[in-house]
Formats: sequence, structure tokens, C-alpha cells
Amino acid sequence: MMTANKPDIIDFIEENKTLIYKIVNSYYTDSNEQEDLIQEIIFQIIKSYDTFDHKVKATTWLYRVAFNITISYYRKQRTIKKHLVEMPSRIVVIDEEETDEYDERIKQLRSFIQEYDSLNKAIVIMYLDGNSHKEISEAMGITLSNVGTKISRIKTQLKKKFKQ
Amino acid sequence: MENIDIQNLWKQSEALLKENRKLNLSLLKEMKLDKARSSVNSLLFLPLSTMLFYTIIGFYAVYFTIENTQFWYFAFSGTVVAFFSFWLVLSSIKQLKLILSIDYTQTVIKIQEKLAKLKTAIVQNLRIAAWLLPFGPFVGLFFFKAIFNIDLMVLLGFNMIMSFGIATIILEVVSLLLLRALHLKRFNSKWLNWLLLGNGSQVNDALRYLKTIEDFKTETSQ
Repeated sequence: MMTANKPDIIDFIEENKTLIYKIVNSYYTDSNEQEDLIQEIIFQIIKSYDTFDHKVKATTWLYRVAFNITISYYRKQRTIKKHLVEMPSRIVVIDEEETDEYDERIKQLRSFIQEYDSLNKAIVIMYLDGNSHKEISEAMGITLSNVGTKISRIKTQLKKKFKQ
Repeated sequence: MENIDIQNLWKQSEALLKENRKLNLSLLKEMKLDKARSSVNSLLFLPLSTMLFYTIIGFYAVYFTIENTQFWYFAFSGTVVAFFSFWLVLSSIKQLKLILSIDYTQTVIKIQEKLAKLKTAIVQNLRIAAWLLPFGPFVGLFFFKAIFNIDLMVLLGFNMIMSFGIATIILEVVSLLLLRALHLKRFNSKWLNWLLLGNGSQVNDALRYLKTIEDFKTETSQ
């Protein structure tokens, strides 16, 4: 197995760390679980980076890895947490004294996102991140028309929720 | 509220996340992953052990059949055991192939489907066992001969052989009921839970998730 001291992988992770944080934060509220999950995602990125063939955009590839790990982990959590990779702790540190600073509307948005199931939540996150339908389709593995339908419904639902 | 506001809110949320999370890059740079466990390896135990066990049983059953060709019931019993053993071996090879093909860089739907299917692997094995059920008396003949070297047909009287036939017919009916209950697309969750001795909830959950994925994939209009 490879070592993780390649500067390009580290740079890639550094450049896209917020994307990972957003995904993890949308599925988990507990900071310890978020730390574990970020660690697992980083492990998989490092492990798979050498085989990345650039057929899709680097961020689309990253979305795939991050969503796949997050959704699998999310489902696994209901049974038993046993497949965690052995990595040094404190790769990521989450400051928990943040909650009060949050705008009420941001909290609302987060809670609305929490209401979606694991697959639709991925679409919501990619849509809010400003990804094109093509990028969402490539990350998720569904047709463009299906992406269009889902986004249109999500937009309507979010608008409606904020109006209520 | 306009969409742009929601996306702006999302951006604000992103900025806050960035402020409150620190990635320890120096630790990441020094880290070696040589000893990191693969999350997939732990899934290999069941199909590998099943494959090994039934390969041995299957080859022994072939040998048994060849050795006992002069007795139709032993030849038939051996053939049945060999057939079902190799079926289970093939099923395990399929599971192994699925596990080894898990690559988290593939599309989300593809990986989620693979992982959910892996959780239902036990149902595939139960379905094979359900097909075997009507041949239960012949499996009994095989094992008595193979383990204790006893020919049950010599020991059994006419009435016992008749009971043998009736048991086969009853098991045939039970088998059909089980196969219906274990059908992946119209499974019966209560039966499944009972068959898995109360541990069917994970399989039920995986089967429901497969249905969710199917709906998610096929939805094209509101």
C-alpha cells in the first residue's frame, strides 16, 4: 500500500477540504462522528488517488468518494461501527463552540437538508454547491432528466419550507 | 425566498464550517497508510469460508456418486449434494467478485447497490437451501452413508419408505412457500426475520434500501 506523503494528494485534500466538511456535516451532527468520518474519507481519497483516471472532473470524483463513504458509514452506524480505518486521531479537529454564532436561517437550512433521505441529500448538497446537472449525473450515476426532475422538486420544497 | 438566497445561505454555512474545522496537514503528511485496514477485507470471511467448505463437500459428493453407482439412491443422493454444493460455491464466487469490485470512486448509485446486495447475500444462500429442502431425505441417506457407513434403505421398512415419500412432498410445499417468502422483490419481512432467527432486520433494511435505490434511479417525472 502507498504512503500518504505525496504533496499533490495533500494539496488536493487541502483545496477541497470544505467540500468534505459540508458533506459530513449534512449527514452527521455529532462532532466525534464527523471527525471519524472525515478521517475515513481522507483515507479513501489517498488510497484511490493513484487510480483516478481524470475521466470526470476532480471534484466530481471527490463527491463520489465522499458520498459513497458517508452514505455507507451512515447506514452502517445503525448496526455496528466496526470498519473504521486505523489512522492517527486528530487529523481533523472540530471546534464545537460554534453553534450560537450560526444565523437562524443557516440552522433552518441545515435542518431542512437533514430531512432528506441519504440519496436525495447528496443531490441537495451538489445542487447547493452549484454543480451542473451533468456533474450531478456523473457523481450519482443517474440520468440527466432524472437529475433535472429531482432538482426541480428540491427547489420547490426548499422554497416552500422557507416560506412556512 | 429566491433560490439564490438559499445558495448564499449555503455559502455562509460553508464559511462557518471552514472556520471551525482544522485539518492537521503536517500529521497527514507524515502518516503512513501501510497498516490501515481495508474496510472491505472483513466482508471476505463469509464467502471465502462458504466456498472452501462447499468445494470440499462438492468434490467428496462427486467421489461418493462414482463409488456408489450400483445403488441408484446413493448415486442420486451424491449427485444432489454435489449439485447444491457447487451451486453454493458459485454463489460465493459471485459474492467475492462483488466485494472485490467495490471501488468507492464509482458512482454513488452503483456502490450503494453493490453494498446493499452484499447484505442480502444470506438470502441467496437461504434460497438455495430452500431448493434443497425437498431432497432432504436423500441428503440424509448421503450423510448416514458418508459419516457412519450405514445404508438407511436396508434398515428402513416399507412404511418408513412411504413416510420418506410423504416427507418429500411436504418439504416440496414448504420449499415453495420459503422461495416465495425469500423472493428479493416481494420478500416477506416476518418470514425472513423468523428464518434468520430474529436477525433479519439488517437484511430487511438492505432489501428496502435496494427498493429505494431502484425508485431513485427510475424517477423521471414528479
